[in-house]
Amino acid sequence: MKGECKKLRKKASAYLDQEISGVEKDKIDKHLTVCPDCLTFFNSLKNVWESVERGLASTPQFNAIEARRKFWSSIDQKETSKAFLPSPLRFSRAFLTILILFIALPIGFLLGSIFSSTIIEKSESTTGEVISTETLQDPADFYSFIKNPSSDYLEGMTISLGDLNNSNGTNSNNSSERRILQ
Amino acid sequence: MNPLEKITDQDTELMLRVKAGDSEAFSILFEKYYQKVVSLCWRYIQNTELAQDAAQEVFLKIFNTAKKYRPTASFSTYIYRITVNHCLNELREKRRHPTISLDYEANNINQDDSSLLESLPSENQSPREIAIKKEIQTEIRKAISELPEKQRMAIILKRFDNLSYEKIGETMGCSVGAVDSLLQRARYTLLKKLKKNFREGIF
Repeated sequence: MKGECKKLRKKASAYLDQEISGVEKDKIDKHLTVCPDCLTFFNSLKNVWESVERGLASTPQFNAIEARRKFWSSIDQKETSKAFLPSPLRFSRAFLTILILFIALPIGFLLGSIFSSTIIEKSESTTGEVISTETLQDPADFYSFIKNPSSDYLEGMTISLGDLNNSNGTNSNNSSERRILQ
Repeated sequence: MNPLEKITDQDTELMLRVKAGDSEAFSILFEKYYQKVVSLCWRYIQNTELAQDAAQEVFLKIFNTAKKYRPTASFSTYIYRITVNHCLNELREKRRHPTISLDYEANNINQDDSSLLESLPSENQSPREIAIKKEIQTEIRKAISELPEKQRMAIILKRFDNLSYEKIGETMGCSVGAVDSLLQRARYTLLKKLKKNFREGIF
């Protein structure tokens, strides 16, 4: 194929759709009078174009009134379902409140247990009495105490049992009460 | 003023009323554009039920985004743009998750589909000629359905809505040169697919 033919065939679509300038159109018209191959090509494309119309011309008829009724019906349904939903603002407030309760409180407890300077443990003695020991900086102290609960050892300790007794539901008038293994 | 421009202005005004909350204005636009929108969908999707669903979704989209509407183009260009994008995206999505066959459907065209015959000359034609023409239409539609998405859309917008290259470009979001290229390639592809029928002089 000659260069000129190739160049003009690229404009075939625009030529058929009259989307080219007058100058270009004249050029193509002139070429088609002297080039039978290009003339065949252009005519073939034109026939294809007419075939497209034949192929898709039979578009079904659609009922616009029925479609409009269906459209508004779907809008009404969506509006109705929205009415049962809480307002976004209320929902967000409730959600935030629940979020705070379920997340912040456990975090608070966790932080409290980590940073607390008081570890209170209970164990039952063999006589059944409850022993409360106070801050044991070293767990080994507790075991030392159990093995040898001397008064010297106890004097080194400060005890605040008020909270523990209260939390156990027992009354204690003396917040510094000690109960030791007998 | 160009009568077409006046109509376009009226449609833009109606849409601005919709933006202000006037549902009656939307009903007017709906009835005016429904056939165009659903026909475009049908020619592209080639399935009646899907085309109707697609058209409903287009109008829903326009209605739901009315508050954001800005008349940067004529209303007809605006609605066509939404329709085209919906068809291109919808089909792409359905290709990923097909629920029905999207290939050119013999299941879309019944053997006794009277709508096909309506466009055929019925007088002085033998049953054999009618059958041949029906087969030709089926082949043409099959060939069109096999075109790449954008080429198919460009063909439909040009052939049936007779939009200019510039309008097609606005609608499809591409340049005039790109539109020319799409149409050129589409026509050439169709020519190759239907070449046999052309050689036999059927077309």
